[in-house]
Amino acid sequence: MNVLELRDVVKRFGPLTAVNGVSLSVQKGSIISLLGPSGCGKTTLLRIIAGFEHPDEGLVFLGSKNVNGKRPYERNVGLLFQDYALFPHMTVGKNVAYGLHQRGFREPQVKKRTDEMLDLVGMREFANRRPQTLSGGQRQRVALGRALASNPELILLDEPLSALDAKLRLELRTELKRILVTAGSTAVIVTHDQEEAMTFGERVIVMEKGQIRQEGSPTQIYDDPKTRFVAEFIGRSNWFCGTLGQKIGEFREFLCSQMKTTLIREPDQVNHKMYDVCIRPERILTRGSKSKDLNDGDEPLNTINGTIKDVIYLGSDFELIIALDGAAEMTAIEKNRRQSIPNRGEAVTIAFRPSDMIVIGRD
Amino acid sequence: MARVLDDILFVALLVLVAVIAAFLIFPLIVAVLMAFDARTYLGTFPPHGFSFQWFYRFFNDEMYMRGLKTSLLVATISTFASAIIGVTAAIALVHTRSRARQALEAIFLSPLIVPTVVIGFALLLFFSRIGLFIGFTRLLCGHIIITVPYTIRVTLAGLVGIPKSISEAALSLGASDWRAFWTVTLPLARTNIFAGTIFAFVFSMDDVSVSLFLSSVDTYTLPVAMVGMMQSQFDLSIAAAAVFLMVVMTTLMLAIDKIFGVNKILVGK
Repeated sequence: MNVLELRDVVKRFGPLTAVNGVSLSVQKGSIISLLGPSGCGKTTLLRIIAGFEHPDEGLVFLGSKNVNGKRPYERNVGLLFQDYALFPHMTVGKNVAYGLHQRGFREPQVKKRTDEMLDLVGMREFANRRPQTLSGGQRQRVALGRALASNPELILLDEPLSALDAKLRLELRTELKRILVTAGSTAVIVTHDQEEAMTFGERVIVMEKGQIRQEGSPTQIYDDPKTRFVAEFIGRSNWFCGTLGQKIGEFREFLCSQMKTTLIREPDQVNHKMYDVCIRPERILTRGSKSKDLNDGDEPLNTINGTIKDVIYLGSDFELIIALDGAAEMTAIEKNRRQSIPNRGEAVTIAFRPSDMIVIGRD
Repeated sequence: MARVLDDILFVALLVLVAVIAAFLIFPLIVAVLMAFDARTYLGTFPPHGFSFQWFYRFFNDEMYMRGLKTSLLVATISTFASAIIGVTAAIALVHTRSRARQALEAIFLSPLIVPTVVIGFALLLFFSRIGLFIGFTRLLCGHIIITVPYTIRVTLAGLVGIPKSISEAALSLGASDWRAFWTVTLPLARTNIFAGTIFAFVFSMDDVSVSLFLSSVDTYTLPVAMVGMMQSQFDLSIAAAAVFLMVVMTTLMLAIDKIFGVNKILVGK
């Protein structure tokens, strides 16, 4: 059953079209991520779902009910804000109970439900504290408890972790996900952080300029992006431009002036003039790091010779900048397992699988 | 060389600040000390002996007491009225689109910029034109006009300091606009609203120019009574009246600062 459905939603602010014809649906119990750069319309979309903005065109359904024109309090949608938005003049307990009071729950029920929620988010012992005395992570957990208390059909998370420092963000990410899954919530999370999007979302929706560019599982989005924007927005990539050659087995030749001819996966359409091809840095192996690991199938490997231009030590990873024979440059990333890493200026051979090559036809 | 110049400039600045402070405070000290003078006539500074005679005369003078009574009544009622007007206007302003809001804000706050003498004179002409001659009503209207900017300004600072997400959170939790305002916005702006009313009270008690125009023969405020006294029989009861006013105002202002912090209220942080 769909908890949320948007049909061709359009929202304009003056001359600017913030959301330009978005349709999507969210099934009960699933969590989806709306991912995109700032200004892509994802927050506007969230505010439309919550009822703070009203679409100029299109329909919004919650459950089976059309909610166009309905005020926020006429919907049962929980919201988690970037700045937590806890009520500073109320204790943690009162904050969690607020929604229950507003939705007309009786006092004994309010008490019981509030305690349940505080237990769920692990904040029971702080019930009598004011939000100001809590850390950012604790505040966001209280906010989640408050949002979940009146059992919303849908919970919306607006960049919920962006106000936290990097280390805490990682901890709270898994914690929030655990709570949402435990509560069996249906959720939409808005974020510009790809890792966050992939942690939360069983489905990731990538947005740009008010439109959905691609929708799919994290694996599909990462390994099979359909546009150059999606490929560039998620993860890092080495780009090459060229034309298609002969079909060889299940693969296709790729002719590029900057490097020797390589094999790539067969594109969906072969009628474009030019193709952009990319390879993720971590899918490139440099010789010395057991290239035979790659040969798990019958797949022929692309190998290119080059020299190490620079080695950047990142603690958990090595970043290798490699100048290829034929003028192109590639960035490769290898996990630091204390293996021997080639030095600057050393000649190397790099290898990568044709099926790891992302191929996008140019319009 | 640059350092020496810096040092000299810094010392010069300190001296300047000290001179200005002395210039502000010295007349007050003279007035306060003279109010306790034991001589029965207006003598030269410093006072000879110590007595409460001028305070006794102040509290037993019919004109002063009439003025004080009117002042307290006008200040209380106009403060109450301007609190209601100010809070309502401030709420409307925060919900208005930015360009219209700037214009409206300028209009609401204009009494701060227009000289009070001008306001007083304008009101006198206006009230005469519409045939309003009751002294107390005229005073009340005038005082509401000069105090409203303070209640608006301070309430607005409080409302603007409340993040939008807080009232949105209340709405998403099932509160109607009215309930969200009543249970969240208003309690958060409470401190500012209260402080604004105290400011309004202080400025109403303190006003001379508007009151001077709007007073009638039998209805006048304490400052107006002081001005009248100064013209008829210049004696030290005026100093005593001044000290009395000063003590009341200072106590109120210190109370605001102690409870809320004046900076916090004006900056809205």
